[in-house]
Formats: sequence, structure tokens, C-alpha cells
Amino acid sequence: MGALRAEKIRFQVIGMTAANIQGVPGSTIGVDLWIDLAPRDYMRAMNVAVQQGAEMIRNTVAVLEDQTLVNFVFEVTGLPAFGRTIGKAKKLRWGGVLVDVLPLDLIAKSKRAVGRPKDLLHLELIRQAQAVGRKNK
Amino acid sequence: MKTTLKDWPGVYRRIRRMRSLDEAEKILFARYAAATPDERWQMNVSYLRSVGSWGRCGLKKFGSR
Repeated sequence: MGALRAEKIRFQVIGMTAANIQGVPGSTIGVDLWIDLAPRDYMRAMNVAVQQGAEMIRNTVAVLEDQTLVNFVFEVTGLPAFGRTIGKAKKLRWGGVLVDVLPLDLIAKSKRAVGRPKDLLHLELIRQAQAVGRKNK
Repeated sequence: MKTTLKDWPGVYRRIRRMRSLDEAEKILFARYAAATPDERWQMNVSYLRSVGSWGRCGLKKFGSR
């Protein structure tokens, strides 16, 4: 993530990765990063990952040396453009880097728009984590 | 207030009267609420490793093409 920043590629952590590091106990098999690039420029992000020792296993998926899967995303269903959401991102220190993280209400909005069975399960976990957060204040 | 995973019993005490969660869920949510982002991610990774679904195995298991 530090390497993306060094290349001046803006990104935010999204999906269940973002939900997980904000306290939602859902599992996710990889890290979803919303990249502020056009989809046709996916190789710019991928080249950064490869330079860090990652292996490209799909056009937008890389596996890092520690086996972490990273999925580069260029648009998010149900949400406006990157530039209109980045201002709402939460800044969290994760892996030693201060990163922008999509807030839970926007993750929920996107999951409602996608609406797969797993998204409905994730929505319930997000709702419960938000309720716990309110009680824990 | 910043907390870490070791502070989860305090969070548990604050949420123990929530009716929407059973006991195991209260402990799970309390642990996640107390943990730092790095600790939360580590719990996710540890769980997936324990069931053999971390890394490339995860892609295969979950049927990604």
C-alpha cells in the first residue's frame, strides 16, 4: 500500500476487508483495493504489486509473497465515483500505513446494491457491529 | 477510546445486555470491537489459515475463475 502511494496512485480499502478492520467479524479471503484509475490502466496498479514481489494471477488479482490476495477494483456497484467518496473515507493505521478505508455505511450501501446472498449476510454483520459500536461508546 | 484485543472483557460488559446477540456472538463482537485494525485482520487471516482457505487456496475453494 505504501508502494501505491509512492507511485501517487490513490486508493481506498473497500469491501469486507474494510469492514473487518473496522470491527465487523466477517471473513474475507483477500484485500479489495479501490484504485483511482480507469479500468484500462489496471497494469499500472499491477506493476506496483509485481515490483513488490507479488505474482499476477488474474488481470486484477495479485498474490503477495505472504500469500495475501489483493484485488484491484476500479468501480464499486452502488457508489458514486472514487473522487466523490474518498472524502468520506476513514483514516486507519493498518500494516504500519495510514490508509483510507471506506466507512461502514457506504460498504453497506454497496452491498445492498449488489445483493448476492453473501452480501446480505455481510449486511447483517455490519448492522450488528454498528449496534455494538453504539453500545460501546 | 483506543483499545486493543486484551481489552475485550470491558467491551463485553458494555454489550452483554444486547438482546440481538447470543453469548458467543457477544464475545466475538466484543473482541472485534476492542481490537486494533491489525489485530482484527490477524484474526481473519488466522481463521482462514486454520481452515485452509488463505491465499491461492481461497480462490480455488470459493470457485473464483
